[in-house]
Amino acid sequence: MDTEYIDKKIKQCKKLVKNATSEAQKEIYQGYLDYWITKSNLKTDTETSEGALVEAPSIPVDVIEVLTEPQKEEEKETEEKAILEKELQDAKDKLEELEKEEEFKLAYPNKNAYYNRDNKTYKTNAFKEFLISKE
Amino acid sequence: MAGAASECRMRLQEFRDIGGGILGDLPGHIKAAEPQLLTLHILGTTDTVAGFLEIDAPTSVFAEAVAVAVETISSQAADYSAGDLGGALQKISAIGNNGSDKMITVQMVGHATDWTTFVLHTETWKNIFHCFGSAWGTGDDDPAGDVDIRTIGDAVIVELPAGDNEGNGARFVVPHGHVAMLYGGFLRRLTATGAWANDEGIAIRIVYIDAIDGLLGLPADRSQNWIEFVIAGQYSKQELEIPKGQMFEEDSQIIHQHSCVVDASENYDLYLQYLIWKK
Repeated sequence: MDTEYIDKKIKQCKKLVKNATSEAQKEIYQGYLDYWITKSNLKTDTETSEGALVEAPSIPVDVIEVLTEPQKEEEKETEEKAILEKELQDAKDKLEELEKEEEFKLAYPNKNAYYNRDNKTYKTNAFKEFLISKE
Repeated sequence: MAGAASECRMRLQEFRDIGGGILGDLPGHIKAAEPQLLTLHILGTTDTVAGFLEIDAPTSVFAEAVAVAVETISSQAADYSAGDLGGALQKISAIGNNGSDKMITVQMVGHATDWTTFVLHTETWKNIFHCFGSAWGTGDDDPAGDVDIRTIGDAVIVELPAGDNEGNGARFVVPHGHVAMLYGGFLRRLTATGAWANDEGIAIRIVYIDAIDGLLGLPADRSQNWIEFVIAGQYSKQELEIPKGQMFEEDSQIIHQHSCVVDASENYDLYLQYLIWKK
């Protein structure tokens, strides 16, 4: 969620609060305004804390030694194995999902399995329901 | 999952638009109240589990004591409302209760050039039950993206999935100061291809819940009642007529549920009519 979007929401909520037709309605709109202001503050806090990482408190020397100690051969192998297993599992999941998608398209030719928003791909509700029904 | 991919077509007609024959046997004093007609036509799919679950539920229940504005947004820029410039979905209609405690259908116009920018609408609502696509550009005759009706806090209430002009939502709330009457309909058992079914049967429940439980999400300390319709199986009648006359009080929430009796291979066709008028 970008800052511009939140700013637009805040601006819109302020307008709604100003033009509310009753006290009760104003209260609801104020609730939405507070919600978006909180979101905006959260975003600012995160940015600030990222910036402050440079001046993070110093780490004791003995801890640094442990952290920088070269990894043992055995540990490396286990790690590599785990990565490979994860990749294999991901590939299996992907294949399974592709099969499900094909099945879905056959069952509901007029419906989409995915949609894009903010450069990300999401499953449509119809597809999610379909997957649950197949479990 | 109950109601998975079930479709409910909900429509609201004003008294002046109701066919004369429908109201033929109504007492004169109800006709004088000029009732509205709410119809639900549900094309039900099978359940994979036994037990009652809601048919075509809305994404989230929208219940406000004071009516407030809502927004719409699409996930695809190809949905927009400016003239016939090649866009897909241009307008979305919602059914719900407005600030004057009247059940209404309102058409909401999408963003002029790119509906991925949200649009705030002037109509204010206490509840929204259902949505459907109601105007298209020359680009397509259904939405290019998922089109949502949502609160100002971005909680989706109901949505049109991409490529589908009928949104979700098969429940409603009797507006404050009004009553509703179940005014008949039918329940028919079908196979997936639309022929008569040859199976173990289905059951439908019309559940009515007091506002305090159903809308506010409080523990169910007040009564929830239901009317049940069962078609027992292949050796019984395949079609059942829904009776007329059950009354529902103001602010009651009415939910429709389905359960397969034994097997999970039954589809069904459920048509319900409700008359709603001011007390």
